[in-house]
Amino acid sequence: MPRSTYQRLLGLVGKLVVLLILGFLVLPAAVVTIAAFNDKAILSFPPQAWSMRWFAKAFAYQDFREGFHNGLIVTAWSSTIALVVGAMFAFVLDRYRFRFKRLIEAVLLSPLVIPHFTVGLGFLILAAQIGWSRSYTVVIACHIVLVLPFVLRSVYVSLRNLDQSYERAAASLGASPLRVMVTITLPLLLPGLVSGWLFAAMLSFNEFTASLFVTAQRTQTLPVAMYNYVREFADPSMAALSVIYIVGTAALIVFANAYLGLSKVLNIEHGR
Amino acid sequence: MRFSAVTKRFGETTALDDVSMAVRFGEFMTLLGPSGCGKTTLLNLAAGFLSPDSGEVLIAGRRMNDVPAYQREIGMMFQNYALFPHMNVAGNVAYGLKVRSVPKQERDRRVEAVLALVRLAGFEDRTPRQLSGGQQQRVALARARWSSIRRFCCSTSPSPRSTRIFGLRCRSSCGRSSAS
Repeated sequence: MPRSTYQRLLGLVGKLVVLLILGFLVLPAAVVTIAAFNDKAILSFPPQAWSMRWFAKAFAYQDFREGFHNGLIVTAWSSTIALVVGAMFAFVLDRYRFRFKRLIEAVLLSPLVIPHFTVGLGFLILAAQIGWSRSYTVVIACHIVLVLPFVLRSVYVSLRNLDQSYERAAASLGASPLRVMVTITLPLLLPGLVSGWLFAAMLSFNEFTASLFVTAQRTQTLPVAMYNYVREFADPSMAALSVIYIVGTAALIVFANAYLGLSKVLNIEHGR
Repeated sequence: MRFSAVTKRFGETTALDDVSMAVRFGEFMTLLGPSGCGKTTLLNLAAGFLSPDSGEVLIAGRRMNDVPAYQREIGMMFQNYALFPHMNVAGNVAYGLKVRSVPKQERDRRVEAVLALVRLAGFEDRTPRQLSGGQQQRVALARARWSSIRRFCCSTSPSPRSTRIFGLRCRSSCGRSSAS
């Protein structure tokens, strides 16, 4: 076989494999999206008749509305607190040498290896002891623990990529450490801080396993409300909610991209 | 500026071993040597980004070992220029003046004069990324030298053009400037 034909064939197979992998990645989202427009009251596929009524139902259903509302409260508090705490720890870990540094780092990142249900169960036991099991505080505290490692990582990576000569230049121009922090370090870290916060917010808003343990009827977040719903009903309003989720998250990313540049927000920018 | 028996180690490596030298007021000095011989370490000690393990750094007779960088009034030009990427040219040059609370009108006037001197008039609103390497170097020079700073440290050899501009400025204000 002539070499060029062989290479062309190889290129074609390569493209096909890439297409298959990409298709595989979006397959579940695509199936759910199509199912959301099914007119029938069952989660069948493919649909025979089309309708938007499940979107209307998803929007109108009281538990979903409250779950969405609760989720926003929990997400806003937990990711913001995690950002502040995580950024401070990242800064200290990046800039200073001290004893037990490794240990502190390990503890901070430990929620990555501890199963979510363990964290949830732990908070449930604690909350029951002090009688807080119905409060937002427990849910928020639990989410902080879960998202902290991600915020920490994100800010830490940005700090590592931050050339310290900017801060030195500012200091040599007479800026006090506080001033350097406010006018140089924080603005240059902003993409990392925003991406850390966004990551935390998405994780927190979608978190289910631990939330199942620590939420009560009054504080249940949207994924928990969806779980409770699907135990009783199996209609396409779940699929409709999923579509809303996807569209919402995509809108967030488009927004971040427009205002900050996706590459920066996702932390994939390579230096200069 | 005087270094007296200064030693600086980084872990196992000894970057500076018992270095003593003096730079007089108004003097222009060049440090030459192969890479890794400690030129930058010496400048970092002068600027206050590092402190010596032993020995003394004196400026105008005052012991500077524990004086932080921001109180030393030493302009530093960095190898990569370290222009603040989130500020435009005018903002970069004005930074040192702003930090010293120079009133806005005075600040604008000085920034304009300095940028004209380094032949960058009209570039005020450009960001560092929009400048060529040589232009970046001149902004760094302007920022380091004319931000109401008395002394000057330079980390890399400036281009011939920058040297000429620098020399020009030195002649016109020799009285209050000193270079190291």
